[in-house]
Amino acid sequence: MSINKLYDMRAIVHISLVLLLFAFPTERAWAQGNVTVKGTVVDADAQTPMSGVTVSRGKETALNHLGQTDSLGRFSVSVPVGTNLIFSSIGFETVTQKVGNVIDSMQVVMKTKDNPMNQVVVQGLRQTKRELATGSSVTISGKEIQDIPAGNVMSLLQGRVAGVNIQNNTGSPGAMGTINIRGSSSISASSDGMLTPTSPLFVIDGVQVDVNSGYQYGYQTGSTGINPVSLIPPEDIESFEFLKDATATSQYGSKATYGVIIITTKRGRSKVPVVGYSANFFMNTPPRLRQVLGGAEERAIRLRTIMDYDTASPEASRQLINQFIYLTDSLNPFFNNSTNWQDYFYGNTFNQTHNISIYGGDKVFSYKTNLNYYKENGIIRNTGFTRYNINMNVTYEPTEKFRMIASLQGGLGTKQNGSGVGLFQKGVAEGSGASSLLPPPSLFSNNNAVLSAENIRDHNKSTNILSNLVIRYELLRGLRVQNDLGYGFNSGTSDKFTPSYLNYGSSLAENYNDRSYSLNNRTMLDYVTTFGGDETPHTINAYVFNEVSSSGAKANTIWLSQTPDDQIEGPIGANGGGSKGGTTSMTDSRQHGYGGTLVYNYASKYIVTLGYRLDGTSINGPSRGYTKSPTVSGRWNFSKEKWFKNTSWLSYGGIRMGWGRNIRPNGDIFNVYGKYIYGPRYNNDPTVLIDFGNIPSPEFQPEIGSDITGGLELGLFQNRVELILEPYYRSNDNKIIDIDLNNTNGFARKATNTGSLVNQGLDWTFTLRMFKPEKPLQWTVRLTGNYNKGTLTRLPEGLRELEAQQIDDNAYVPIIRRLGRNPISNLLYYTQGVYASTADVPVNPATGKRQQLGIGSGFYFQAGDPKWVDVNGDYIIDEKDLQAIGNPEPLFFGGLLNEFMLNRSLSLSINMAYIYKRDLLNQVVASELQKYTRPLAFNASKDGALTPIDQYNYWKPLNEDRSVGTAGAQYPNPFDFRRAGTLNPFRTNQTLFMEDGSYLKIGSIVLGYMVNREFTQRFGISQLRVTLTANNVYTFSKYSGPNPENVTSLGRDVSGGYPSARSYAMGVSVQF
Amino acid sequence: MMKKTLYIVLTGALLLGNLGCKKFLSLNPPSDLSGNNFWRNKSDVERYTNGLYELFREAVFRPDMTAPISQNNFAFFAWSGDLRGAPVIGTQSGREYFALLTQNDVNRVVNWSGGWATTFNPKRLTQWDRFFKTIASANIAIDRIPTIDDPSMSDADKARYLGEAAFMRNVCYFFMVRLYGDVPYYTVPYYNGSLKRQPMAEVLKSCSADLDVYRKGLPWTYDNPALLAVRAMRGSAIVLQMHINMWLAAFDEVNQEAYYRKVDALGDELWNEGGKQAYELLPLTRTKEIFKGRSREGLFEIPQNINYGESFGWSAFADNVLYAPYKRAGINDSYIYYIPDFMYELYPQDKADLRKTAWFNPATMYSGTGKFIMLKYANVYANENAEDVNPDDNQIVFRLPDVNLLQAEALTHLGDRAKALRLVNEVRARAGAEPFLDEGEEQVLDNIFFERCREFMGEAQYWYDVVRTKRITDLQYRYGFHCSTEQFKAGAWTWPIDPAARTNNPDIVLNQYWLN
Repeated sequence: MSINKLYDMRAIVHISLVLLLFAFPTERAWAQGNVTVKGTVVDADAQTPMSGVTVSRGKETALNHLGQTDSLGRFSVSVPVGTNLIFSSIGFETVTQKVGNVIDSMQVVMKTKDNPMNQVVVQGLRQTKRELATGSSVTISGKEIQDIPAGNVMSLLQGRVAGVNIQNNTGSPGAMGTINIRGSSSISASSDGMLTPTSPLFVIDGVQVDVNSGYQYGYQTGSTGINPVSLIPPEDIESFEFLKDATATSQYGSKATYGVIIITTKRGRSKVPVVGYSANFFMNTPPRLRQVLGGAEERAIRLRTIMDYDTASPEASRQLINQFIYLTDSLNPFFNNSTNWQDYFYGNTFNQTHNISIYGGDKVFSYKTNLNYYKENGIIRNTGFTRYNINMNVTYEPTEKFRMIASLQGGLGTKQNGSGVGLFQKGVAEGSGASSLLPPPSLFSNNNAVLSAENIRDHNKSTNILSNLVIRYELLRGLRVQNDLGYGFNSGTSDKFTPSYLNYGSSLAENYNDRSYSLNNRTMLDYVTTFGGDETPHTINAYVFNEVSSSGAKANTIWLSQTPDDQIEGPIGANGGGSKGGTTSMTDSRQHGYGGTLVYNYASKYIVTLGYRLDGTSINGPSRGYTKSPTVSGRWNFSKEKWFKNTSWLSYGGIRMGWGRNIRPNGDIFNVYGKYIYGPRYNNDPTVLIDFGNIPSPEFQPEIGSDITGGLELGLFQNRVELILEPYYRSNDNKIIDIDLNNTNGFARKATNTGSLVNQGLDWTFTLRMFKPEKPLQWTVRLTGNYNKGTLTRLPEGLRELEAQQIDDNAYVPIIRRLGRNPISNLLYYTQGVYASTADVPVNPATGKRQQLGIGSGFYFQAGDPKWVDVNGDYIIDEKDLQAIGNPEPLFFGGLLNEFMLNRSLSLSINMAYIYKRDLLNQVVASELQKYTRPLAFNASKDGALTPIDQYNYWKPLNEDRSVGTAGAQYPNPFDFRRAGTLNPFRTNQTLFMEDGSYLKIGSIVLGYMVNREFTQRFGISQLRVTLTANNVYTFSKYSGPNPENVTSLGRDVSGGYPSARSYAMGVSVQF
Repeated sequence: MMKKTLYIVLTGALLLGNLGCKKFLSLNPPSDLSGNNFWRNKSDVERYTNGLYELFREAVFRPDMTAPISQNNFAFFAWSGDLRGAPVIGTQSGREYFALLTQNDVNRVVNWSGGWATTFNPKRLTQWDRFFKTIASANIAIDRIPTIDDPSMSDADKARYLGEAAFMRNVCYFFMVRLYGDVPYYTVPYYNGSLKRQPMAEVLKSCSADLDVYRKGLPWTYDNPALLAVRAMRGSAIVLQMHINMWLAAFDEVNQEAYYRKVDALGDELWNEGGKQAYELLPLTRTKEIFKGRSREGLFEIPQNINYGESFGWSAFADNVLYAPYKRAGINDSYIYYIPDFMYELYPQDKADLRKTAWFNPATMYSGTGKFIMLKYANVYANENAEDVNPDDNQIVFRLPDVNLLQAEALTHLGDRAKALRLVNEVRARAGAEPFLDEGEEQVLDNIFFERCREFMGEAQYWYDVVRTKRITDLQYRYGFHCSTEQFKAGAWTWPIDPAARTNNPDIVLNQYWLN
């Protein structure tokens, strides 16, 4: 049937009704001597009609199959009186009803299977019932997040899954924050303050999407900045599966070392087509902006600073001031302003998203098509994200022996980055920090940032296609062969044109394009057999598989400099010398894995699983051989033992334990074999030299992730209390650490596999259903959490610690990796307040001089200076006094979900997420205060804005010579600008700016109302739901910076990133 | 039964499917050459070996030979071999380095800041990392070449490339020993450990033994004239090994005799096994050919060629001793001259010697002024873009007379003066000078030394000859810099070592003599 033409909703209803009319008479024709039974099937929870419920008599076989309910939940079958009609639907308890007197309006109420043990979870490469699962995996229904509009669906899952730490550290539309399962497994950091990502592997409708490698999006590279996960419409998601331990993930091979997230979209299962439409209209608002001094106030405070603290004579100070016209020339209209720059950049935006889904079919053939449109204008000028997605899947199962599922997903995302770059959108709204003295933006004003944000022609587009084909055939009873073929293709283009008047007179056209693909094929042979009778059933399930995959990416960049005119963006730049271009990155990799799993199950009581996988990759080359990933796990459902037979309070109880290992290729082929490069010609012949950057090391090893996970699962009081506790111990060995070589080695560095870290902790999930299921008001509370402690356990060559410079936006805060501590710590000066008076400064008894800064600098501490701890007691503050302090990884994180449901129509859901004990470096405050130490020379168009100083408790002098001042001040004297140049009292690497980043965030509040079905049916609408949603509502935190979540994964609050917006949405969803 | 068979077949098929996967997994990155797809054929080896020479050239000249002539100059040969401690006087103010070098004040040379120090990068004289880059690369080549499976690569080819790689690593070690004394020594590929400095006698003995292994794989000469002397030949290895053994004889005096015998044997090997056919002393009328390079007289040279866009810049010795018309008009003086006493000693005015006219202007060679000129390197191709027009000659590292003179010196020590004189007089005969007579061991040795000075002036041999023959501590020898025996033993003849050598290798002890 032609789906394309079904624009009109009413048409679909008509067509389906016509189809129904045709359907019924045929069934009647052969059912002679029977009665016709009609009725409706209703969902017990939602009180909505259920479509696609299978009606059959006796066991479900093709012969017994009688029909399915239509979109209004109606069915009509013709059977002899006394037949047992069986109603079944996936996820619901099967209902059996005898055909008796009532044949006209049989009411069937179906309840969801609330025995959580029957929930289907993914283990390795196959699905199993939760009571048989020996590994750790969590399923989240797509329903949980479907009322909240979002650019990236992962942002909505924050706090919902125990052990999965999602931090939305950028508010940039369409970007994805960091995701770590059970702590970060990273010990190296990139230059922009992010840990090397250790994101889980995404499997989107059977297609593997590895966002770690081949992740050219984000960071400081030129790219479209669109994450492939952002192209999935949240409305279409059926479920998320989070596989957390090696037992569950190892069968996915090396890419799954950091966990697996399986995203499955909806499938059709209704005999008649169902058309659903949902829309959300939402408003995004920027967070509270910082307060800024305006105009004269800004000028006055700068002048006062200079007059008070310049060491030269007042005349000299005046002369100095006269050199800076923005300070003196207050009558010049150019400098006589009080411009609110932030206003030019930030603002509320109105946005919308629409989704149409059409699905239908029966057991033999079903289909689904989903169309999605999402548009979000960023709260910063000239930024935004738009998503178009169409996706469809079909299932064809003509006999029980054969099944085929094909799905195809096409996504298109466009993004405007304004003047921002990369994941953190650095540079976006940079101009909002401009001095208020500068005139408002115009072509002739000094500040180009606003114009840049507005006039840079910027177009970023990312398209992807994910396709998947699954064919399964049962060769013999219990023996099935299945083939999964997944192909994903992603292509991104980015065009950016900066007109000449914004780029020092020479226009610049940047064109970037990339494409990447991943292809994965897995053949699996699966065998199930049961023996031993009903009393003592032994079940053996075994499968073997063979998997090949390949992936590759290529990116090209072209820069055209000085095009002839601002209207012209090519084809050639006028300045050939300044134009450049070429292939900037090119990767290709292949992987082959094979293995199998054996599950033995005795009466669902004792389950043992053995798994094994061998992997070879082209990344480290063929001579590395195959790496082996074994797993062993078991489970004991103790509630099934005899001695619990009569305990009514225990609904279920199980203990599981698993050990597994997963191996991830490290580095690249160059680490093993070296890289050979073309050298200068010698004797006019070509030369090849070895690259002296990294020494090849033939003994280079892959990374090994291994873990032991335990699990206790309990259901009490008819499952009204559920509890899952999972302690785990996970180690990651052979992490790459580069060590510098000496200059006799020829090579500069050696990548060694000498880093090891351990994450140990506990995941917990409590679910409480406050009231009995039959009560009209239902209140469910789900508390998830994770306690995680990371420890660095090994460094190269017996080193105890390893230091590295980490350059952030405006600060150099080194990181240190020290054995026995958390993997990465900051190296900081310990600040113990401020010297209230000069007499408080310690005096070196040997010299009689006060404590000084640096050896032999002659710079002595005095009143108003920060009191840094002199660790080695030499009366000199220098880098020997730095200490390893702080842990950027949270100790606890998790979430709290409250769901209320009244009369099955009014619902309220409140989701919260929390983090406890995380150390952040508040570089925002540091840089705000640093501005006071630079009253004269600063970049007025970038960091000129001053925040009111009075909100800080800073040191003020009490006497003329400033040797005595405020006692108990928190911050040093910000005005002593002459000394600040040397002292740098607001340096970021001190504990003064280290704060606790704990927070409790109200993530989303969704209020939903299901309009009475009787009422809507009159209009041919089977379901109508309206929602009011607020997202990113409020964050409770003692942290003094703007947002404790908007920080880098190293816990550094770098101002200038993209803030997270708050959004309010109004949504409606209808189903015909 | 059927079922079972089916399972076995299916499982087998599934597992067998894996056997072809080695090829599937051998995917070479499209971005760069890795060791996995390099080292496959003769062309790889050829290019890599050529790269070893390039690395060596970068160690002793400018890193980028195509850079503008004024950039990154490094006058390694001239400063370390010709000028250091030499009887040379600078003619211009602002070029303090001549005085500092000739007075052996090398600490001030390498630590000079500004001016000529930024032009000539003298600090590099204290840095050995480029030599070790060449050594590390050569070690990898020696490890990889035997494993190459290419039908077009014969065993002789492999032996030749191994010989070239071995020559390159040993020439680097030899150069470093002459610069720094004791140096760390290793030959294993991909070496990433840290080593102490080994006594230089040990290092050189290992080098000599290494050349014994690989030397014979090298051809006496090449059919391709472009490769002559520019790529290592058997003669290159022999002369290098002779130098190594002469140095050993000077510093490991206990075993002197064995080293001299080795030198003699090496010389004979050259004369008897093919060197006679491959090499010859060209008549001095063909001086330009000799010093342009790639001649039958050259044994090892470092090439430059304006036609290929390459230039030593200002790093060649010739830059110091030429003026117009051999340089741009307007430059009318040499930067240096050899003191007249020394020139009289080398070229007595009353004795015939064709070198006087072929290599000097007899009218100015004793003048003691900037008019002193040396025409060894004067193959000028006017490079209009350069500030000075510098010659386009190869840097001669070893030349056939070196074999004659080294063997003669060893023979004299061994007492076979007849053979020694025959060898020396071959060199003299070429220059049209009267032959030396047997005037006793001392006198013959003196004669040989001065013959070396005459023959190799401007070829970076002088300083090493005075160090090796200990004339530097001998006041009988009247020219150039002298130091006491104690100073000599403390390392006055070495260069300081850059403290960067101690980074990640604290066992390295710097040259103490220069640390005061």
